[in-house]
Amino acid sequence: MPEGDAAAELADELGGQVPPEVARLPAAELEHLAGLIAEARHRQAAEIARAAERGLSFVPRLLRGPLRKALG
Amino acid sequence: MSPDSLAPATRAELMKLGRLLDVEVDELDYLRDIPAEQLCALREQVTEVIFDSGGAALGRLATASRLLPTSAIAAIAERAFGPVLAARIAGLLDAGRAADVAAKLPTPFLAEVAVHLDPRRAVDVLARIPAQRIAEVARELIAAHEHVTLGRFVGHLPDEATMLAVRAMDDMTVLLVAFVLEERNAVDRVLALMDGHRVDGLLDAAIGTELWPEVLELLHDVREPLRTRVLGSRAVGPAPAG
Repeated sequence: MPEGDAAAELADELGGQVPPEVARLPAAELEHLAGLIAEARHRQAAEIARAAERGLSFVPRLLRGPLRKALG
Repeated sequence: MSPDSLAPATRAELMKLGRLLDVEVDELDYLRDIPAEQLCALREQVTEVIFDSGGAALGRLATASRLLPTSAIAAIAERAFGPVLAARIAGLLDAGRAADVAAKLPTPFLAEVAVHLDPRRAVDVLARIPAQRIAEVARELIAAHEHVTLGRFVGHLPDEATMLAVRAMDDMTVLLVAFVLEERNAVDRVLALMDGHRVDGLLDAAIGTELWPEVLELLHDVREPLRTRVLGSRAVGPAPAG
């Protein structure tokens, strides 16, 4: 991937401008960084879903219905 | 990369970024020559992305938690969420309830939460936690050599909590934390909260060591008359040994 594309991909991932010295890194490193950020986001989303399920096992059965409703 | 060969500010930023992304600092080796202030900007962007990306789901969890007593939330935080998610949801809870939850959690767990917490998002919670408890958490972080985490918090803690936390640190820890403070005026604030004897002892311990040039650099931006009072004759004092 050309440097410009990789910097744009990282900017997309960051939701804003890439700091100038970072933007000058080789494309492979920019891609690596963008990949790490995307992985961290996905990992967090999966972990939140698992934690919510685990959390329900700690509350009385009667409350689980209202809690599931609140969790959407 | 040997992280020890990096300037403290760069090393601290890479450690913080590594924690956010859940990777070892070595994996970010290609960032070692980026100026620390740009690493800080990058890390703040990544913080926003990660904290915001789970924001809706975490917000629903925070809303649902209102149905539960704080003892149940504490049990869920410790046993179902773990320190990383507990840190990310802390700033979304009502601050008073979050402080009640913190009161029910063991100190070692709170220290782990602190490692992953963005203190800017939890200032109201931190302000409601008793200073003694904050100092207990600080002691855990000191024992774990978590200077970077301690440095992230100092600018966001009330004065009494900061004083007690600094009192719990030995001279070397104070210096290592001071090198990685995040807030620009935090050095002034910490110095103003320390008694003169402690500051003297700390500077005398550093003078003549390899840390002295970094101490002078750190004190360079301290406002006057505090800077002159702290440095006294040391600014033109003995040259570093070696």
